[in-house]
Amino acid sequence: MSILVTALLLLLALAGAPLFAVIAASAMWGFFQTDVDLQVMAVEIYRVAEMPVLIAIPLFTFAGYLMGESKAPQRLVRITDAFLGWMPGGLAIVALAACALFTAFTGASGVTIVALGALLVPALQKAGYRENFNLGLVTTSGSLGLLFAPSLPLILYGVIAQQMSLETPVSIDDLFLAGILPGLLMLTALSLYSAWQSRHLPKSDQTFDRAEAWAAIKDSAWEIPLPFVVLGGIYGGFFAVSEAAAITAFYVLIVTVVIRREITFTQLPVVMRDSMKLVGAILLILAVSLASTNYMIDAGVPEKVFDTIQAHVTDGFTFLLLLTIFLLILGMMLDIFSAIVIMIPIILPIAVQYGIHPVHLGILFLANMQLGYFTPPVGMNLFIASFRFNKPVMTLYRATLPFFFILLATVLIITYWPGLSLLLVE
Amino acid sequence: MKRLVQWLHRLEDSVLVLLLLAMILLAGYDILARSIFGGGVSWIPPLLRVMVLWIGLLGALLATRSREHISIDLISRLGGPTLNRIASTITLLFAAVVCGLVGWFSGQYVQLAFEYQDIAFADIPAWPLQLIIPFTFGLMGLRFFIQGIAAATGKEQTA
Amino acid sequence: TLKIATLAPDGTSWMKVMRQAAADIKAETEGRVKIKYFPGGVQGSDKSVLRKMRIGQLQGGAIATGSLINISPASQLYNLPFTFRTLEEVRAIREEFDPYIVSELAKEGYVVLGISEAGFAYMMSDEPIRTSDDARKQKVWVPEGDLIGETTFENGGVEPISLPLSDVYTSLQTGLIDTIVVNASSAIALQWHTKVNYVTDFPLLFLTGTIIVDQKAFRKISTEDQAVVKRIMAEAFASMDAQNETDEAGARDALAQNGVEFVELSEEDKQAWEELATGVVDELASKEIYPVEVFKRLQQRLEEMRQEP
Ligand code: NA
Ligand code: NA
Repeated sequence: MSILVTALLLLLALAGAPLFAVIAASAMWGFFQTDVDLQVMAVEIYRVAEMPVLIAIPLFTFAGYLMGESKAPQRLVRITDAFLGWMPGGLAIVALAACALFTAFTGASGVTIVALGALLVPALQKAGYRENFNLGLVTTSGSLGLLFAPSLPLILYGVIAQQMSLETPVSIDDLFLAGILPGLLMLTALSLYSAWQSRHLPKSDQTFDRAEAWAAIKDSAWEIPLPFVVLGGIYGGFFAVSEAAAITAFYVLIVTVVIRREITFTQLPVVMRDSMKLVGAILLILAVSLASTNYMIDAGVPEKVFDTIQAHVTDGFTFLLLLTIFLLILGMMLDIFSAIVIMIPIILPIAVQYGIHPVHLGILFLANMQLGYFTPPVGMNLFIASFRFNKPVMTLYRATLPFFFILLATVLIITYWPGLSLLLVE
Repeated sequence: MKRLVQWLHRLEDSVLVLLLLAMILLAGYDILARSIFGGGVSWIPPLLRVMVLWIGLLGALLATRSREHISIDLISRLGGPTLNRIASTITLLFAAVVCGLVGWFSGQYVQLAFEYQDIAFADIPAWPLQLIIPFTFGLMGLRFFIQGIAAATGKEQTA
Repeated sequence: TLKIATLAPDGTSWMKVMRQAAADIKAETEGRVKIKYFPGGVQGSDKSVLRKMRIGQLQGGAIATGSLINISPASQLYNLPFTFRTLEEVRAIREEFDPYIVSELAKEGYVVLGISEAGFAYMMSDEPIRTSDDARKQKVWVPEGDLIGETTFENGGVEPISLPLSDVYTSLQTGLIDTIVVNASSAIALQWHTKVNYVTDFPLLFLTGTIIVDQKAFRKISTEDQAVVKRIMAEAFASMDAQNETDEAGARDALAQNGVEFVELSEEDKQAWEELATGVVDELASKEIYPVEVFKRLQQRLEEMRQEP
């Protein structure tokens, strides 16, 4: 694509043009230049209807909006306070863990931010955390947990690596094991930061109060089964992820509208409409970026960039460093599944030559991708959070920056310390 | 004219709400069928996926109404009212052109799918399901265009 | 340039053969015909690939036979349940019937560059399956949109669970499904073999894939070059079939080594399955999803072959 067109599109984006229009325009310009019929836009947009995981987006989003509009955030604060009030950053840590588990199932498609964000940001606010911290935490957590089983990207990496018939076999179970410690490292680092951030909060020097704990449990009686039903249902083999989304939506609908009556029947269509507006804004960007990704694949852009990088590599250390930078950018630009499918067959054989264990490569690849989701300026989750919380994207750049550097540090540790990934495998 | 627009808005809203309700019910029924009767209903999952596309595009159409699309919005926040108006006009008209193009080419594509009798799933042809793409993009283009003109002439207007 | 997309990931032996064929074609046509592959499903599902061929973004695709069901019933000729018992039978039949499939697809505007064998699919499960009664107790997966698979199990009184490919591993892990029908090497490549204990050692159906190229695009190549492309591709497909045969045999050994047990069927059990298949084939005939008359001829040929000493 010529520099002039790129600059023009960038300018339009900065001037506030809808992002989907900018992405669609870049895709169409690219296709036009390479003589591909622009009807391809329709084919790519229709692919949204061929991705099973996307069913979870409207359903979880709706459930999240309903809970956010009800009094569930207050109850969440109360119950974490009763049990973890003594722990600095207790609620923030609960939020991190919840997001990580959720993302392990939903694969960081932004679902975590829209579904849990609606609940967690008001809850954190009520507990007295700074707004920027809350926004940063939830945006960051939107991709946290990619390294935990049963995340689909991990499985996909395993399947691709397996088919390349390497000398060292890559089993999915090994990848599940290898992801645990690096994933925990990221969680721990963010938890420590949260604990440190909560030092300004009024100290609740109350000791554990049994009566209050019991009251809090009773208060949240309808919400407590939800995580057990969802996680238990998936692990127990009763339903798949998209079905868990349907059950959650149905359950939350019944509880908030029929049982608790915190949302009235007249409010309900409004909540539905608002939540689907968000789904529309997200899916539209996703749809057109399928097209722009497809243009890049068609023109072989990632391969060319990687070839350039490889031409400047002399040793394993430099290779990993350049790989990290490259993957960050890739994670920002491409969706994770395309990134795996296109790049792993190219990167893996070269990485193996530099003595990098294929399981380790998988973990560091995904860790980088996870960071890419909220790498400024165009990490997808930044935009999703901007929309969800109705904040300018600039605010989110600032809010996520500390989190970005913390996770960057952990990504470097994960990259340069293979033992962390391989300890449980061997 | 105003009545017609209002009527259209209400139609969009109702279709969206009904689609979401249907989605929850169908997905729920599929789980029941699978766990109680021992097998799923094979046409439900692909239908749900098409509903995701429809909900997404109709939701996007809704977001266009209230100008709530995801954007970066740097220049207009730093600049004064005049620059703001110019930026709004240009970006809105740009979005109108992009949507118009996508709508136009999607329309051609749906025609092709009709001619080839492309099948979506089971025995259902793909073209009626794909028709939502040119429809929503066309309407979004129109809305952006009206908003762009309104911004240029300094009037606030929603379409 | 012919742009050809496939779901097969890069780096597989299949892709290596295809890339070598592309290099040979380029050399022999002195660069007039180039083939560019898009492996790993980056251009989308088989359906997306067919759509992109229609608008000319892609010229060809390596496509699973099941995805051609809406284009021509002829494509499904080899893929009905319990048709073949051995690879020898398949090879003998192919010699006679491949040209029919090629000419039927040509009528729909597609040039077939080759039909490749992907091996026999077997039932693999956590419990041994000998009869359709056994199968009825299982949670059987069929790929989404697989009409033949669905009808087969429904006829046996089994309500199959249809899931997209990407959900199968997790669903085997959680127990949402416990029985799959797949060929040995795919079971290993997708690592599904780690989640099953038994293989019913009686081939359920034969899997094929095919590379098709849009006729309009292909006719832009000069007639001599067309011949070169067809010849080199035919050679590549022959070597792939041989390769596939060894791969499948190796995969069977690997299954056994991984502690997967092969369940032998008695002659009555086999006949019971084949009788069940007759019902399926009759039902599918009414839906016109395979060429009924030609299939009858194929069955006749098989009968004759089986009776030869
Ligand atoms: Na990304
Ligand atoms: Na993308």
